[in-house]
Amino acid sequence: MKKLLCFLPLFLLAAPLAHAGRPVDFPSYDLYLDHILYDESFFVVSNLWMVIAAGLMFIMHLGFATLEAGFARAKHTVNILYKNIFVVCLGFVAYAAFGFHTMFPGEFNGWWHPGGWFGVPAKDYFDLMTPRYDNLTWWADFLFQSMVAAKAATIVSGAVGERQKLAPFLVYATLLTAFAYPVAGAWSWGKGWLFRQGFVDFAGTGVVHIFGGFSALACVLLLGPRLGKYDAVTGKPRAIPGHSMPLATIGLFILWFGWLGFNGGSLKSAHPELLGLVVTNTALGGTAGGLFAMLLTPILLAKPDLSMAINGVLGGLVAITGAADIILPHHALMAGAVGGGVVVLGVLLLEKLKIDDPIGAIPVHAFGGLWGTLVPAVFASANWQWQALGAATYALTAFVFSFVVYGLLKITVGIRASVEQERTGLDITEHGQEAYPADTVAQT
Amino acid sequence: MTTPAKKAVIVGATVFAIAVLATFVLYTFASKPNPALTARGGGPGKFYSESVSVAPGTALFFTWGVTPSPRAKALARGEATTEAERYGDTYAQARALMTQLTEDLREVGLTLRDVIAVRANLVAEPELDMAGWNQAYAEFFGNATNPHKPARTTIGISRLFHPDYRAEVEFIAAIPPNRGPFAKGSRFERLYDRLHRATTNDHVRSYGRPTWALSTGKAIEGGSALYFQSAIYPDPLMPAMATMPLKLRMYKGDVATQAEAIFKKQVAALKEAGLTPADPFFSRNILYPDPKNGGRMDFAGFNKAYTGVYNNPENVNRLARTVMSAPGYATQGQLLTIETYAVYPGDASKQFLGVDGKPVALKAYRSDPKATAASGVGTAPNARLTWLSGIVSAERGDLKAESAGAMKIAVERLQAAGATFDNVAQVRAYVAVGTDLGAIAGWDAAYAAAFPGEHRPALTVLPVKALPAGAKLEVEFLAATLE
Repeated sequence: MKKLLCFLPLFLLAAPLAHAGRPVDFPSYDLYLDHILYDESFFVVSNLWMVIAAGLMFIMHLGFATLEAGFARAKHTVNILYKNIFVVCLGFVAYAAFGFHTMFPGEFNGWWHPGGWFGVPAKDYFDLMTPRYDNLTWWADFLFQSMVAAKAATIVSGAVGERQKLAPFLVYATLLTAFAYPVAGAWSWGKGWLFRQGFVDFAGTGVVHIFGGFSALACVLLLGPRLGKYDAVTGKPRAIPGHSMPLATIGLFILWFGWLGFNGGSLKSAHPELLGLVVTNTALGGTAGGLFAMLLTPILLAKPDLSMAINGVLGGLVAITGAADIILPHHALMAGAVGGGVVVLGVLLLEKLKIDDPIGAIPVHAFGGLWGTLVPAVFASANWQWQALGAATYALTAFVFSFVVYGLLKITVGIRASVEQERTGLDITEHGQEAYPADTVAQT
Repeated sequence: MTTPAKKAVIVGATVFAIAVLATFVLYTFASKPNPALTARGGGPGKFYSESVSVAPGTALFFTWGVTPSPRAKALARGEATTEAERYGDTYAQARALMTQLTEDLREVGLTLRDVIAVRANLVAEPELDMAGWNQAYAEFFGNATNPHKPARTTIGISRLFHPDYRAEVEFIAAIPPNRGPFAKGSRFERLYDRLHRATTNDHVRSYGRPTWALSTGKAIEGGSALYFQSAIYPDPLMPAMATMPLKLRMYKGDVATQAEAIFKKQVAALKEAGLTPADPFFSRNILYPDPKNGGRMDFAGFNKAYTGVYNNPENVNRLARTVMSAPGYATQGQLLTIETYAVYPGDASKQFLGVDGKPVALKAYRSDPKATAASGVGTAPNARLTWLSGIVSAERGDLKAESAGAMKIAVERLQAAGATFDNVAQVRAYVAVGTDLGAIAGWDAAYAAAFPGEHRPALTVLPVKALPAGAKLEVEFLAATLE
């Protein structure tokens, strides 16, 4: 109990919360905003911000790569990094060819409207690059959305790490990114049936995180736990520590940094009021998730656990993603804290169920995403039934799609690496190279 | 099969079953309609309800008439090469408009399940594209994800602001108690406060861009008394003509001068009900093609007259409005008609007491006993409002026969809503008779038969281009009843 005393100053933070939520008064706000928003320079600035946000989104892939590699054992590192590079490359190409027009068709029947991009006359693009339509150009829109698209497959990639066969996973990731994600995403972001019924998903708790998280759950169920994760006799879980906690921590901070662009860019403009609010909420949500996870872990596990702290921050960030533009910072703190708690409990739950998720992708993205989808209903009076239905829809769609596709691959070609491969390490057996060759290590 | 594989299938099937169950349970909850609305006669196979009643004391939201924007994505995809294709056909435009309206509703916290009435003005040149409109409409209402069917009126008009616009759609919606700008402490109230829109009436909240001449929507507080004005026509050439048969009335002047005259009469009519130009919240403006001006519509002239009364430094009130062009009475030299809705400021319940001191649902203002309709009708704060869909007669015939047929259906539908013609606040008749304006006498007879007594509703009679099912007459009602 003594070590908990160091968290005591935290409760002092409750004092300013009493003052939170008061509206700020700007008598000439209307004119100020109107002047800015309908200015040509606002278009230029917004477009610039969207391209910068796309850059921040891109660097999240570095975060995913380092986080996943850090949490894996050294003998599987090359395999993890290889998958991450493949998913990024594939994500952009698939999204350009098929995904973008499927997800944002403009006019849309609400369910299914596949479309392609290539072969569009160039003059029409220039027609679009005017402030008349939106606060960003066609290119910036595509750039940002293609960065989001690769995320779902990356989430799965971490969860199935250290024991999957490479080739079947690449086939699965291609199908997920190119077909399943854009169709499901269009229901909410493409103004499909969920959007029409009032489902709120600001930056993708449902579209990206629940979708990726439940895909990962289906894949992990089919794949089974790593060798030695659960004791063959007693069934007790054993900790399999990652090989580089510094790498994992670097990954966390890069992800956190990129997340500011993920949520900030989801505004699709540089709205002077909302942009600040969204980024503030995002930062606060992450901190609250981390703090609450750090507070909870010593109570539940007796020692402050670094991996729990890392996943707690990510859980807080996922929780805030769905409502960052419509809630105030004190609500962002609460939502993030609950998100952090959900992740810690989720990790323990998965161990109870004997499901093995090496990096904690399922607690963070699936469970954190479920909570994140309810946040707009809890703090911003969105319709809770449709929030819950939207969450269930994305969970179900992702789960069924992944279970069927990965299941078919399992029956036909097999998805699990052999015991021999898993013991030796996928780096040597799949790629014929090591992340940390022994001679280099020996010389230093 | 090995044991771990079996286990995976069992666990997977369990998760799948739970998720399917949860989805269905949630869907049952989620698709429940707005409890304030009572929709009647929207059975299977029908696109819309015959009537929709709103519980007394429900806050309302009136949107503007949304007109299309260029189809950005279709342009980029290379599907639009000509100027007309920039906006798409009726189907594409209606779908885009309702997506925009869905966004406008979301801003207030509403969804498509809260919509009471849908009004569509479709350009019927060369013909009315009902198939395209119905196809788009069915993607938003009366389908698997949104079983709710609002009341609906569709008319075919001549033109909208831009020659390539094919459709204009407006919604009236009911605001649930925990949403909208009137829900204390909700994010919708907070959002509204941040917007700092100027309000000129204590029961109205105004949405839209501050530099626009119009509002994109007006939220009306629950328990407000509403006022519905008859369509106002300009002054005829000689005052004596006002009571003459339609054929003999002649009008002069351009749109700007006629609009100015109309606004003057509008303010006078508002004054009769104890209202000022600060109180209207919605206005429907129909411009007729000017034969002397090559059939052109002078939208700019109208805007100038509008600014004389609304959206100026003296009166910052910006109305949610629709502007369209229909044949109207252009052959008589008349160039426009305007009808408007308003809200009584403050506590208006004292106004709605009958001669015996008992509360009444309606108050009609008719200072001229010779007038066939009231200049405007107020509905009591505690009245139950019922919107009826546009009614067309079951059989095609001349205007007189169709009017009688439509009135027969109207009696039944009013009765189903617990109302009679005495409860009717507003009647809007659309006639498609081409240039034969004399035929309107057929409608007048049916109207006189329905309202023989003291009570007269607010009335609009508008010659339009075409009507659904090739009808010559479509009539819609708004009724107010007390519990």
